[in-house]
Amino acid sequence: MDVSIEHQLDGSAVVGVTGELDVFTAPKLEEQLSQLIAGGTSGVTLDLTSVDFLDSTGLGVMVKALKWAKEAGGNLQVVASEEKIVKVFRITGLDEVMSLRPTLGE
Amino acid sequence: MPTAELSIPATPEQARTARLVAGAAARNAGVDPEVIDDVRLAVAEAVARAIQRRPTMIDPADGVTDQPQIKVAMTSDGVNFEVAVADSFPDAPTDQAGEGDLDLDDGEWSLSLLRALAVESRLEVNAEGGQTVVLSWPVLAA
Repeated sequence: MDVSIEHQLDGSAVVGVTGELDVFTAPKLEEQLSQLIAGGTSGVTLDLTSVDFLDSTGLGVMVKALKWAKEAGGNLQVVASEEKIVKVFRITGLDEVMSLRPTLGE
Repeated sequence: MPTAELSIPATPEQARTARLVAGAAARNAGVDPEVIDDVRLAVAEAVARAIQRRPTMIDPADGVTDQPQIKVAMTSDGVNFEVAVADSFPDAPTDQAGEGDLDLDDGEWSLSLLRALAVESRLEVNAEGGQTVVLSWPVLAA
């Protein structure tokens, strides 16, 4: 799994994740999101369009990051389009909790 | 008839091995290619669950070098493909309280995924005092 962080002019950031987000890699993403939000970036868009595997430990990280972002006055949005990734949100009901959209663009 | 059997250390880096082998075994057994991703994810959830049930790491200073293992057994009888993910970890009081207002119960999400992805799923207490998650999918007619 690779993580890239692109800071935007409005102070938000797009965090792009590539590869597999599972019980092994999820803690690395958690650390990056934790540092980003603690560093003052509370508007986060998590781009999962290049993620080809997601399990419940990955979901756990996203829910934690959503909580941190909201506590800091911001939000966390998730971009995912592939059915096998969106399905994980749907089955667990997290598509109702998280802001999920199919593309990065408005 | 066993299709494949794996014994892996109960460590996060091994979860990938388990799901890839399970996916390949399911494909070889004749499971619908459309649900191979479901097999991989369900096995990943069962393995991650076992890893998280593993007792707290043993202090290396104690000189204990044996890694607790998880067994993943894949079988096919020509009608169903079955995966059994077994640990030997006794139930311990869990400390999975959430961190506040949002529900952080990964365990519940994991069980939801197991129930939704496998055609049949069950949880058993095994002879070693641990838990076995059994998942199955039908095999397509040849």
